[in-house]
Amino acid sequence: MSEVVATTRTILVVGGGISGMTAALEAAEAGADVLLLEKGASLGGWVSQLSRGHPTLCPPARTLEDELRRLGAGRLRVLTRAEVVRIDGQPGDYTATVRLAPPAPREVGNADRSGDPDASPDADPDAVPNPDTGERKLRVKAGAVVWATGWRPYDAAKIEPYGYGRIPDVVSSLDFARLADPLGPTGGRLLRPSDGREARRVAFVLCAGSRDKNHLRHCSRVCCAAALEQAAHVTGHLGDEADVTLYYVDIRVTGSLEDLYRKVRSDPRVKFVRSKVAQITRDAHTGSPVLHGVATEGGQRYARVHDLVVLAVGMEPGVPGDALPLRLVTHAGGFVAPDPANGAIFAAGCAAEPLDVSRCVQHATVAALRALQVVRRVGGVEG
Amino acid sequence: MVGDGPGDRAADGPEAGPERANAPPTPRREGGLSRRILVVGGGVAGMTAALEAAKAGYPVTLVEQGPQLGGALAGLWKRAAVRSPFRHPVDTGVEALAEAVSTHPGVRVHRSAGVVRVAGAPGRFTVVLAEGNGARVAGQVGAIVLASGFRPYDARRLPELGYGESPDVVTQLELETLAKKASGGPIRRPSDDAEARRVVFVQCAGQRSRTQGHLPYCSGHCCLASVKQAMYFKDRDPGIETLVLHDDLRTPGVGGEDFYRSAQEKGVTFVRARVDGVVLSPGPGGPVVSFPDQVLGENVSVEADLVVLATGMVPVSGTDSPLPWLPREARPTGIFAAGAVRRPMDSSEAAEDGAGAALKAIQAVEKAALGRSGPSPFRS
Amino acid sequence: MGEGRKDYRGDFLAEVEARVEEGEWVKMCMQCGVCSGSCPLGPDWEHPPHEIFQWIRANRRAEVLGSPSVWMCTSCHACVVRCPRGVPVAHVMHGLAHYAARLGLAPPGQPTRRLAERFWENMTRTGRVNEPRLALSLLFANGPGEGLRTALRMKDAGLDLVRAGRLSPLAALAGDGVEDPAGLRAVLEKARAIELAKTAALED
Ligand SMILES: Cc1cc2nc3c(=O)[nH]c(=O)nc-3n(C[C@H](O)[C@H](O)[C@H](O)COP(=O)(O)OP(=O)(O)OC[C@H]3O[C@@H](n4cnc5c(N)ncnc54)[C@H](O)[C@@H]3O)c2cc1C
Ligand SMILES: Cc1cc2nc3c(=O)[nH]c(=O)nc-3n(C[C@H](O)[C@H](O)[C@H](O)COP(=O)(O)OP(=O)(O)OC[C@H]3O[C@@H](n4cnc5c(N)ncnc54)[C@H](O)[C@@H]3O)c2cc1C
Ligand code: SF4
Ligand code: SF4
Ligand code: SF4
Ligand code: SF4
Repeated sequence: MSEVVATTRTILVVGGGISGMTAALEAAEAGADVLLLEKGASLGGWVSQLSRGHPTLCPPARTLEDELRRLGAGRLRVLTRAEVVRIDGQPGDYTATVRLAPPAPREVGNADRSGDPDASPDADPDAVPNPDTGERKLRVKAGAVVWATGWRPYDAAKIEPYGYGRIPDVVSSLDFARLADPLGPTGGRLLRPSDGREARRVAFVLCAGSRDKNHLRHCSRVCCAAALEQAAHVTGHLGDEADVTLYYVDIRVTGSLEDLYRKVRSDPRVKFVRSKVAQITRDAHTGSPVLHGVATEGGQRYARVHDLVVLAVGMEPGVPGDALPLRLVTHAGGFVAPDPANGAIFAAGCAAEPLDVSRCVQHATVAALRALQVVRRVGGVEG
Repeated sequence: MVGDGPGDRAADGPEAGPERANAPPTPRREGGLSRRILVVGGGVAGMTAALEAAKAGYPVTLVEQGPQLGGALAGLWKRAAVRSPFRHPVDTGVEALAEAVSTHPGVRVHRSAGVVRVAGAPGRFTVVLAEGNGARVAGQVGAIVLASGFRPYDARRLPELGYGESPDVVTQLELETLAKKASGGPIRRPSDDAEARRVVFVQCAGQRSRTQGHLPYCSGHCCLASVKQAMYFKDRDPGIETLVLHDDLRTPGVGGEDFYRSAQEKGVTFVRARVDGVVLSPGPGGPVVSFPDQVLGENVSVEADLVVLATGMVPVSGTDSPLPWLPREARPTGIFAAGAVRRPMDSSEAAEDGAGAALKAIQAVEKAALGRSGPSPFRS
Repeated sequence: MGEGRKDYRGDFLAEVEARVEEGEWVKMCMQCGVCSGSCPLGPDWEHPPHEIFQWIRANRRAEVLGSPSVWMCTSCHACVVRCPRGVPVAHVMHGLAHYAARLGLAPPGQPTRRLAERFWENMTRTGRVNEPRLALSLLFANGPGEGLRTALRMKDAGLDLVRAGRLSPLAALAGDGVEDPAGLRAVLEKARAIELAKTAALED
């Protein structure tokens, strides 16, 4: 079967997280040719790692399964271990340079087709492995690009006063998701890293690195909801033993997530302290983390010992603004802005803005539509 | 299809009738299938759905019950910043959008009209529209986008916040009307038309509350709206005092925090407080807002020229569905809700949702075509 | 209740912005509490910095300018580097203290204020701080009785300092200074006049 890798009527989707998968599926379902490239070994992005820790917020796992099931349909090709490193061209005629990591990329979605781009007639001559790294390069054409490279967590170690990396029981929300995962290293038990004891007094420190001139200026939107969900997980897991505290400035959950907030807020095992934590130290005797600060409501100064401290770290763009494969108009934090100057490159999901899964899906659908409009025009086929 | 009223002009229905000369996508009616997309509601969600579907090459019929396109956005003076550096309120863009929709050759707009009947399945819905003049129009469409939006929460349920007690206690939407009237000049309070120089914003009015008759949820957009509205005053005259009383200030996302900071730079004062009540002042002054300052731990009251209540959005769906006659079972196939009818959202999200619904509608049409008449032309 | 219906009016904030060094930063505070939580002197503040900022918004002029709290800051800058809004908290506190002193509103017996004043007197005399004299003047600030009692209580610390070479009792008598102390005083006087002129309009 001689399949062309891509033509100018192809929609290239970069990134195989929930946003990229959604955009690819939606565009394919509307009849477009789609090529989805994911730099990792598998699809799913962060959602596949976080889903088990966040059952009620949105059932990401279910969404993902649904999506994967739909992957078989339509004219959709997927290459994993394929990282887009460069894009040239203009709307209707882009060429993307793709770095293929060894081993040979796997193609999902259409079992009868070989995933090896060498097998296709117009495979790029560059697709010769680099003798040292085994990497190969590939060029693909596309009429429009959906840029869905997602987010990465802000490096908690940069928040110097919080001691991440120095104090073992100070972890990030992503570390916590691993701890809480029944299939994770602790089998879902909240064992603190320092001594393996079960954590009972758990603190969540919100806005860790967000809304902060010294770190990320923006509010990362999802971390309040994620922290509430994780707090609920602790109480559900430990029962009456649980002693949870949330340190926050504003709880930012909108819509009916207010119900989640109300539920956690009314739980007597969970305390809410309106305060940005000033500093975290390590107790000299027990080694436990100690949180220092002042409660802005009530004015009490605290120095409270916890077994485990979870930093609700913020989101920054997965591919920073200065590392984008071509010049794009971005917002201050490097998220790709919707701007006509970006031509037919449409950002989807967290590459564009910190969003939760349902908003990512909504957002990616639009990117698919815009890309579709471009390739329709290019194809010149009557609509 | 058969119409059901004396004014029926079946031949002029959404699908039938002379297509405009340069309408690019000539609707095909293979096996009686329609590729036309019906959009109900001409707010930002509906207009965007219509325009995007038309741009992708599908014929569209847009039905708006009011005399104008625009929905709630048309009632706003400005909207919150949508791009870096997220500093100032910007034009709503609603006129340009309405113009683009009205002039697009692929979109047919019916104003002062409603949908009175829907039946059928994707690819072959039969619909009947009622025009303002009483005429009925029947025709066929392939898919439907329902973008009937929201209605503002009824602030008369908030006498404890002074609404209805004092004319100078208004909702955010009413403030937009005052600001539009002022058109960049001084914003005047309703009671005596004097310029409002001390303005207090009360967040979460009747929202995030378990009290009977209040909204249990957070409408999500009203913190940003108050930040924006406070700027209406400050941008005109920095000497006007604006006080935003909030519990959690919810301005999430890529630009919200910048917009909030910008308001602070402009001198808007933010105070953490859940307002206890708003009462009429015994003397000649304006309404008095009382609240505990959560930081200072004191009960205080301030007098204002104008009090603005951040009341919420109630989706026009559910019990008071605009289309109670809509066959429920048709919903999952071929009928897609978009915009504030689904849940409270700001206009950027409503536009995004409208565009998404357009794609869903396109897919429904394409799938119907596949099932009935072989592969779609896009797959050639 | 404070000043009733004048609460939350912008008068005092406007005054602070116009008259107090770095006062225009006060409005940028987001009330997160990090400054107060970072302050090593925290437990000793009657109203820690974030509360001072809130008092300013609440238009409580007398409370703020008469507060001993604005005198607490020792310029360690822990708050300044951590403030998510970049507010120069320490500078604002010093600005407020200075402003209160100029208006004669500062609390008279406040110890850090006293330290600051004696330090200034001591330092401007010769252009160098004379530590033993400064210590003595502080010890005896509340009269000879209390001064002696405190001196006895502190004597071990004092002797330790002498032994470590950090304090020279002889300096109390002589001590060194800059070459032209009168010139220095003239410079300082000039600076003071310029600064007063800037705010003269207000002090009617
Ligand atoms: C602590 C935390 C908890 C959360 N919990 C929830 C929750 O409970 N519910 C919820 O709704 N949301 C939650 N979220 C948000 C959720 O994680 C995001 O909405 C979601 O992951 C965004 O998906 P995405 O596809 O946009 O990005 P990603 O998941 O980041 O996917 C991007 C993909 O692109 C790939 N990629 C990057 N660069 C390239 C390149 N150059 N070439 C090819 N591929 C590339 C990456 O490998 C990755 O697979 C949480 C976020 C955090 C921080
Ligand atoms: C005070 C206030 C301030 C705001 N400020 C901002 C802001 O600064 N920035 C921002 O982005 N957003 C703002 N918003 C939100 C914004 O107004 C909404 O997000 C947006 O209007 C939602 O658009 P929509 O199309 O979903 O609904 P709507 O605007 O409600 O439009 C729905 C349309 O459908 C029509 N309709 C309803 N039922 C039928 C029917 N049965 N048949 C035919 N037509 C029907 C209605 O007449 C209406 O025209 C603000 C909202 C308020 C209330
Ligand atoms: S979502 Fe919450 S925790 Fe995250 S940055 Fe925003 S306010 Fe802070
Ligand atoms: S957006 Fe703000 S004002 Fe509106 S309900 Fe939510 S928290 Fe309250
Ligand atoms: S740290 Fe900065 S923003 Fe936070 S309370 Fe102090 S001054 Fe305000
Ligand atoms: S600079 Fe002043 S206010 Fe700030 S932490 Fe140090 S002593 Fe406290």
